[in-house]
Amino acid sequence: MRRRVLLLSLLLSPLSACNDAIPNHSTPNALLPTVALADRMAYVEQNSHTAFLLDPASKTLVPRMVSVGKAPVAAVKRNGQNQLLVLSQGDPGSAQITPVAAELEEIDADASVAPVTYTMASRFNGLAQSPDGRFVLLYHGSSAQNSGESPLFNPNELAIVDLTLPPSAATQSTVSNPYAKSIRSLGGVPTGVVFSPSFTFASTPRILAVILAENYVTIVDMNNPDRTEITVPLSTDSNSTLSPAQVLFDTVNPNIYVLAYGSDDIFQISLTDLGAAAPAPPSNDFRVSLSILAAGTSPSDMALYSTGGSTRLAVLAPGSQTLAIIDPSTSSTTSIATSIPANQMVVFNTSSPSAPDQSEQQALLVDVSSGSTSVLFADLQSIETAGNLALVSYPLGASATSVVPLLDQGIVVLMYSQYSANALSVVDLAKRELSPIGAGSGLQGSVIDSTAPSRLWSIDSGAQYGLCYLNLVARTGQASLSTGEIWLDQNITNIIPLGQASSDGHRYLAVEQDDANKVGNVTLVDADNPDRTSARTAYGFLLTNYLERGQP
Amino acid sequence: MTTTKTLTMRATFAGVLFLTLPSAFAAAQSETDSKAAWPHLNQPTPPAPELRQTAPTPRPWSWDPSRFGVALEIRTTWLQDSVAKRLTGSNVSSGEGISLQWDALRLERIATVSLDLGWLTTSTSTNQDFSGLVEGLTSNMFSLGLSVRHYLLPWLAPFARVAGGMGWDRLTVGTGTGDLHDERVFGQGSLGGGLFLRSPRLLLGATRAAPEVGLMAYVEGGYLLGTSSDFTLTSQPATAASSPIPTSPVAIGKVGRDAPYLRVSVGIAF
Repeated sequence: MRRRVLLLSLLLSPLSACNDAIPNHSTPNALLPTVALADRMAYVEQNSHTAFLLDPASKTLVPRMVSVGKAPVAAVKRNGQNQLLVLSQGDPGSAQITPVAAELEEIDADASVAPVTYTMASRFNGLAQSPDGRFVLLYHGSSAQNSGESPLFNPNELAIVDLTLPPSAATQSTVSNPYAKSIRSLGGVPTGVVFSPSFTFASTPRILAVILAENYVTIVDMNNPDRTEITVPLSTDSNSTLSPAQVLFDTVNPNIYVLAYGSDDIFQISLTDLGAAAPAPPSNDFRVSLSILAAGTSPSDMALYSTGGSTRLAVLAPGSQTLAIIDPSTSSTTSIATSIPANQMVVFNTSSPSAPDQSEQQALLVDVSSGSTSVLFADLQSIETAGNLALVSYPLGASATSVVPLLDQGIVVLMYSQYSANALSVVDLAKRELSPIGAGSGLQGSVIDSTAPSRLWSIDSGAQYGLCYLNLVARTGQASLSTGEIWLDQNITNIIPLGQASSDGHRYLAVEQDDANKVGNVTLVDADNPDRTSARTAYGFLLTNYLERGQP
Repeated sequence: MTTTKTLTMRATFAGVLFLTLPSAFAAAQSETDSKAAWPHLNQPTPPAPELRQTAPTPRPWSWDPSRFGVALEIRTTWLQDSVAKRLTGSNVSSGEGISLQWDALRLERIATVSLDLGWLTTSTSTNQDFSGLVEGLTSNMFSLGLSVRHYLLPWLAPFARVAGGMGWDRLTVGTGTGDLHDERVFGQGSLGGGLFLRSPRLLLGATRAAPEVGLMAYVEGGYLLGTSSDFTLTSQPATAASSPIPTSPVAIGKVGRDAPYLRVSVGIAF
């Protein structure tokens, strides 16, 4: 009997062993949108909070894996640098889980450069960076609470990070990096951030951040984040709702122009350098004053240009079908009727047909929302005197839905509806020529590779394996507007051109393909000499070292 | 996890059956038989009863040893390698197989040297309800074993066994046409010991020429040593192209297989 009990115990023992806790690795990959660095792609997987940097020049296509903060919510390329910025929210913790702080991770494409981690006090989900990539401003992109955030948070709290400086605590002479700042609220929350080019105040360069909110904007001196922010109300009418949508900066005559949906006016914020008269910090060494410029009905786009040494603000108002030319120094406005409700404008500098030897400011006016089938060229140099005689209309093959300017190559691409037989038109700005391009079954997933000489890449919507391209400008051995196509082995879902050549001297196009298992599926094609024979596929690269990786 | 429990319960049931079966047979068997078949027990033999039958008839069973055996087996391993645990989704892995056994040498019916050839397959899959990523590992293993048994009772013999062999793993990650997979060959060996149980041989006929069949069972514990499998996943998309675009393999990691085990076999001896 005792022998039976002993053997029975042995046989039953596996049952008890089954109850041991086993870590769960099977959560499907959750990827943030792919980030195109200069010469490689970056994929950020949220569950394992790992960044995968895939170098197309690598023979093995084994990605470099870098651990990032817990619960990453945003990943972008740092402006002007071959670096990845990853914002993570961390974990507020619980009785069983230790809280994890939110982080901003700076990961260089060069593996020899150690990542830099900036720890945040708040769990932000919005990230904006200055054009030069020096400053990052983190904010709460929505007042809605996410489950990963803290139970209490101030939606008007910001964090300002100077990426040229290491993380540091505040000292008597310097502020901390990152610098936490709560801005004044007039009842709204940040909806966007726009950075200025460099202004000069008190003989020192300044980058300003204009934080957009419903009915007001806030100006923050990024170089002196501890100085008081400046809040500029756009409306005193509590019944109106103005949504700031576009901000322009004039660094010559220090001005900020704000276009807000819901208003027929343009808001001019003049900046005055106080110089030696500046009050002591935390007051600012510049002052702002607000002017309101009439611009027609429902302005939708504006542009600054200079003419004869003075600055002009051109504003399109499709509601009144006018183009307003405003002299900001006098607030005088010249309003010119347009034949179409143009709502988007591209200002460029080129010779005009009337004066081929002379470079002049011109504009292309396009309607991308009301279905107009023509565009207008405006001679901005003479428009204030010639009126609508300075406007010339050109027909389109279809109504445009978006405008892609490639001014460094002298062209603008007007995209048409995906369902139109006319896929797009390429506008030669100097010649004022519009070349319509057809598409047998419509364009799908088209991407414009802005690296000169530019190409438009698209998925062949008739056969998803086809990767077709259009040479937007001439290149060696290939004429302008010539087309080509190569065939891959799998359904194409996304096309990502890289901006720079990789270490093997080739510039690549990352073609993402069907990836039901979310393990990473990309075919790398030479962007300048697309050829199937030189293409390579990396499939499953997000599983690299998958079994032996540490616990998420 | 459910599969593991089911298999283990099956093994438990079979084991309990074979713990009770031989002793029941033994109780029913005459003492005379036991003493005649196993003289080493060295117990006094009572006088034989007078035979009244005119023609001798064969006994319906006997404790004579069998030479061959075929057994179904279940082997449970307590995984030590974290990757193996992760692939199995449990600390425990179970496999099923079949083995052929040959008693190669008997030493006065006290000790027996046996050879066995076995095939064991283990298949695990982790597919959580919320997961779109299935990880499956299938192992097939052939082994040749050598064991020595020593009979304490006609139906009970402890034994020691050493075995070695080769096998192959197939790891699959993902599902459908987009799955990634790899196959690896590995070597393995084991050292263990346990108990051998058997029933009397039953005569399947009225004459002595009729075949005799008995039931047998093993319960074996030991330690398994094996080379680890270093998996590199590959996948080739379905394409009509004569020369598909090359796809880079992905090194996914190494799976170790050293582990203690419990093996339960149930079979027929003849």
